[in-house]
Amino acid sequence: MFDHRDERSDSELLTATADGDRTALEMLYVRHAPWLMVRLSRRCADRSLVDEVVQDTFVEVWRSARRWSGRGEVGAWIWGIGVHRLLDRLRRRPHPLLAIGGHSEVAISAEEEVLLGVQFGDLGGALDRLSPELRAVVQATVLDGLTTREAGKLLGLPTGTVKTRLMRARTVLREELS
Amino acid sequence: MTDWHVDEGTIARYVSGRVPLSVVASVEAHLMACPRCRAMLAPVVELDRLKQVWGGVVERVDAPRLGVIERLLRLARVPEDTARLLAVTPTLRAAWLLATTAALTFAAIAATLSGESERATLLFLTLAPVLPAAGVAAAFHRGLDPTYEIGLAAPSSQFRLLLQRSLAVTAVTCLAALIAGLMLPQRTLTTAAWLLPALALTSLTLVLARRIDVVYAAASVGGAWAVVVMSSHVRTGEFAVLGASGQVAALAVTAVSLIVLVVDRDRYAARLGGA
Repeated sequence: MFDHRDERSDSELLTATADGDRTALEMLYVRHAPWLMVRLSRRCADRSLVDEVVQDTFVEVWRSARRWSGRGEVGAWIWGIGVHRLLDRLRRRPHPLLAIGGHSEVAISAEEEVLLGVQFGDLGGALDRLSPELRAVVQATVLDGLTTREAGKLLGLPTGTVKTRLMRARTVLREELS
Repeated sequence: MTDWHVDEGTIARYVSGRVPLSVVASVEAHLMACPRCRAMLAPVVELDRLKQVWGGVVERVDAPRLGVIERLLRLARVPEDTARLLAVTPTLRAAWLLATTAALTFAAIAATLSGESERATLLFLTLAPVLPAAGVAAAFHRGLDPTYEIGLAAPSSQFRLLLQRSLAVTAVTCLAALIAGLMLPQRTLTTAAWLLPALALTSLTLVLARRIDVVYAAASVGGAWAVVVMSSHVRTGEFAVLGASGQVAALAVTAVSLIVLVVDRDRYAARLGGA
């Protein structure tokens, strides 16, 4: 499965998938399923659920490839689908399980460009020093691109709490950096 | 994209979960945009797991379009497996439904055209209760049911499947009979009087099917019904069987049969469909 090489770019593959090319879908799967699985496993500890979500995601990629705007990274588009499929599955089960990881670092609502290469900066340190609840909320909204409502559903919190924690995280970070 | 790439050590730590969130954030954001670093992550996930999930994707992507009945059932929130088993019931297929409708329509038209409305009504009222029983019998007969083996092996209870299918077939057939009945010349209460006998005959067929082949059960029940109706008509000139006492009797037969079915439901594993 991982042997064949395809020289097409991700966006070319996605366009081909929209036209019904199954080998293009397979190539996209080969390229993106591994990191998607790992990234989802960091949001959900249930392995079989993660497998189902990845499956759901690529079926959805097949069905809605047409709707890709053609701009931006295919990986980001796939992640958007993946995280919403995860939300879907979690909603159907009364499943409280979410592995936000052992770190209690809080990430503040920094922009994506700031996050890139941030581990050597002050901001990174401040992020890593926040408390678990604040961190979880920031990871869900900033990293995963969810709305506050969706983040609430993912973490099992009411929307108001999500918003409050986000604001608190911002405040803490602002204080630390000033 | 910046020049920064993820080194192998960081990847390993990211996968194991031993990095702080700021690193997680950087790595994940970077991976969405960098094919080279994504390729580094590929060997981390077990090949078998990836292949298995891909197999599932292929199955769903290649799945054929569902038939009308199954789509309707799914819309009604019937669970997927039940919908599939119901949709393949041979007597819910177009051919059978057409045959049933044709038979009933023929009887009703004969009634209107012949002018001897009593005779024709007799025909209709004899035929109408038998058809659901026949439908249920055909639904389970080994020769006609393409999913007979699958049904036997299915993890859900045989009895539940039996009830679901019989209910579906009975409902559909009764609906057809109801519509055909509207075409009868004599639009009195008598024309709806076949309903309880229909239920009685169907449940009786199911009870008998525990001992004998379901087709023979349906045939004997139907035959007995025809004999009873005709003889009572010949003797009294009326549809005594369909009168008040007849309805009560039909209700009693239905109730008793259903009780027998429920109480003895474990017997259905092997018997139904004919040995």
